[in-house]
Amino acid sequence: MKFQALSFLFVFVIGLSLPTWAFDVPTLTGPVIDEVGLLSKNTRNQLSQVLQRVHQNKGPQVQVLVISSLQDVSIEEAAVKIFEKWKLGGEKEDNGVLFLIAPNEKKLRIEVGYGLEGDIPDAVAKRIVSDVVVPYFKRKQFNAGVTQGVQAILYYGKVQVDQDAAVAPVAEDSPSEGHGSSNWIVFVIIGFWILLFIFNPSLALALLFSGRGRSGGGGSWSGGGGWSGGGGSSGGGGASGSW
Amino acid sequence: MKKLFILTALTLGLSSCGIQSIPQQKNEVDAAFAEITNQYKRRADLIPNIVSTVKGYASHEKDTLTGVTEARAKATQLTVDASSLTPEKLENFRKVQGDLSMALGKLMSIAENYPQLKADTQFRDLQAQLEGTENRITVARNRYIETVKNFNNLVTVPPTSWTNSILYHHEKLPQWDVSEAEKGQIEKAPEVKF
Repeated sequence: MKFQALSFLFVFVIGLSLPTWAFDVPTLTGPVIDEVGLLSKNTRNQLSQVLQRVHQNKGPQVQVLVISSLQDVSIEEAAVKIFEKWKLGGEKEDNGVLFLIAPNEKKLRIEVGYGLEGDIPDAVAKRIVSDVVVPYFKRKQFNAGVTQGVQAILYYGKVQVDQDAAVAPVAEDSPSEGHGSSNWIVFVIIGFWILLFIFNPSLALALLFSGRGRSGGGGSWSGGGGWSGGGGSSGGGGASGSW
Repeated sequence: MKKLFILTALTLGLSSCGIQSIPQQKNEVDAAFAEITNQYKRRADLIPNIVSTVKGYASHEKDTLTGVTEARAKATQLTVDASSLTPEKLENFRKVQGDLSMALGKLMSIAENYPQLKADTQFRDLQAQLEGTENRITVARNRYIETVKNFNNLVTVPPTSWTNSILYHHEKLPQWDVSEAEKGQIEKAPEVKF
């Protein structure tokens, strides 16, 4: 009798937990999570510092995740599940972005929170994926690809911060031109960085982060700088690609 | 003081019996359905642009182009209201949107045969928007299914079902189950290769 009750309970508990088995979302430990060691330690630290600072300055919450396996679901589904669990971005602003990379499936996706769908519409996300990131990934330059992808996301995502600059301080080197005429500037900037990365990657990385990364105090944030989602949500906006 | 205590206890007791959660969940369902129609509308708004862009490069694919336009017309004519949703209405809505998905899928797959069309920047942007919208539709549908499931649990599983039969008399809501064949079509539609 007791056994019966116990086994009933067991079945019941399994039944309850079944839906969550569908996709196992990793724990949110910092702005850059690399499950497979795709990125160099340098890139990881520098990106983490930049993203941490951007978020502290009321900018968007950009999250980089290199995931070891998509567990047989599509990258779109995985991105939504991860976003739902982590709740990237503020609850009211919904200004989270998930930059998801699955090296084993050779797929990547930029999932954009509701609040940033205006700044980073699908077409822009698609361009970042296929014109900025994928060319690097095809040449196995993952550090450069992820860094450039994040730069592009920040460039577009910051527009919102610029607009109400009175309340939100703008991080020092964000281009603050209006968005209408600034399209070519992106290409010039991106072109410049591409060239620099080709000829001297280490200088490029150093330059890229010297302005912002210095005052961070080394790796102090990684001890647990309080990186967590703020209740933001997404509804499948963004774009995917493969390399 | 005692009154306050009783009141609090009563509210706490009531809050777990469904008196609040049933109407709340009903609102959730309505909102989730509104999101689906919203995303389908977004897709319908994209289609004229896609059709005219494709026409510029592949005007002789007349059948496919008119197929999409007609399917779109049918889909936009049918408006459904979340609060008066019957299984038949839902089925009809799903069918009409599924037909449009199919017609669109066909159109996007013929685009593969036109390298110039594929290289067109405007077309690429439209393609990205369509992919994004199809993905949003999938997400909205999944969330709707989830909220309907929760609502149906509330109105059928005790103790909340007792509250329902005494107070609200809500019927179980029709679930959005996508038939296997339709599932294949829908999943095929957004698959736009580069």
